[in-house]
Amino acid sequence: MMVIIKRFLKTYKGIVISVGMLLLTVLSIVYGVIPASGRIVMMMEQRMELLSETASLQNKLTVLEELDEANIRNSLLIALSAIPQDKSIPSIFSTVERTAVVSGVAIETITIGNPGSLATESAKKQSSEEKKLGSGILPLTAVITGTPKQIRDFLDTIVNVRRFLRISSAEITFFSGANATLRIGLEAFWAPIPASLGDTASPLSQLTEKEEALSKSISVMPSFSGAELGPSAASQLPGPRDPFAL
Amino acid sequence: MKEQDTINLLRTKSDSPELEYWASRLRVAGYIGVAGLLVIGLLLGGGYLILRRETNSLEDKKSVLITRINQERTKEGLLLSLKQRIGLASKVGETQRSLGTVLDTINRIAETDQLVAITRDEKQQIRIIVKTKSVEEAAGVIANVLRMVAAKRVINPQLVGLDLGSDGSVRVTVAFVHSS
Repeated sequence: MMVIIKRFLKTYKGIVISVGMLLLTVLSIVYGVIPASGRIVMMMEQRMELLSETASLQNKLTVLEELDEANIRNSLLIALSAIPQDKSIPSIFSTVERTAVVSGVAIETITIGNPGSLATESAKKQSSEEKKLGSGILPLTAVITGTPKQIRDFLDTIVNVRRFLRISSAEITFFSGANATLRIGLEAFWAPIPASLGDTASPLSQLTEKEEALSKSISVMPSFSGAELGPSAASQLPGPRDPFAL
Repeated sequence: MKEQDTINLLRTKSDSPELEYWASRLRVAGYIGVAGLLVIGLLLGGGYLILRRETNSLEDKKSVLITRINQERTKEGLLLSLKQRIGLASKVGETQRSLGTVLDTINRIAETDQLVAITRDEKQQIRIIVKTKSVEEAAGVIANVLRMVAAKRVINPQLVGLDLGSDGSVRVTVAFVHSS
């Protein structure tokens, strides 16, 4: 048997070697080249992903390094005076009272809440509205007296002061003698500061032009709440260690 | 001199030309296959090394960037808070309902001394009660409402009430939606 094999190999040595080489080539391609190619394609995709991530991180770092912390902190304090992080009821009272003084009207009553509505219905509506806006809503009612012009001034001013208040309802009753009474439903807004920053790799962009313009417009609104730039408000902002420590 | 003392009687070459032809073809194919395999292997190996190096470099860079960003967490917190607050302010601003333009429109409908009451409810429906000294004045008020409709300042006006007083005065109640 061995003699036959040896004879065969001697006769067809060339062909055997060539077939062996071809077989080696095919096996190398199947078990080596194809898996290696797959691995390289995977590495290329990983590289593209890393490129994209590093570009995003670089953008974020550039945005952060260009930020003036003091400026941003100041802008945030001003924005917090418009929509505070809690209900801040004293600021509501002082805003309504000072607006009344500026307009020349007299306040008869200010009531927090809306006792005239069914509690269940108004609670439901408030909840869906709050979800839509993404902020808490505190309703209040005020009864105010003055001349029609003073009441008009009050109505114009109350929606243009820094503590944001929205008119939900209004009833003006005119009396003889050029006086009128305004019963006004207002809504004040508040929202807590986010409790977490999110992932380090999450993208971050600078303030857009629209956001800058809105921030500026808030800053020029008159502030009647009296609590916006005091030391107590400033101390509640993010410090160097924990961004959201209060 | 040593003589060759063996005679190789075995055939080492085939006498068949066809077989010889295929043997040479296979030989060439084998050489090409191995050469190709070597080239591909080198390319793949080189490509792998380059990609590996680049990936490592990018991972290092990413790690450095993350460290630097973590050092700026306070600024990030401030900016995110500010963006959130401005976003809320924008949404509130969009739903802000000033009464100034409504009062302007009402002043075009009736004089201030004719007005008894103005109401705006939570659904933005306006209701005005006007007291005029005569039916002609009341007609004038209604005509003014229609003028405001034509000017597209008022939508869906309704005459809710019309009461004639014994002294000739007329109490007109009109409801409408103000066009913003």
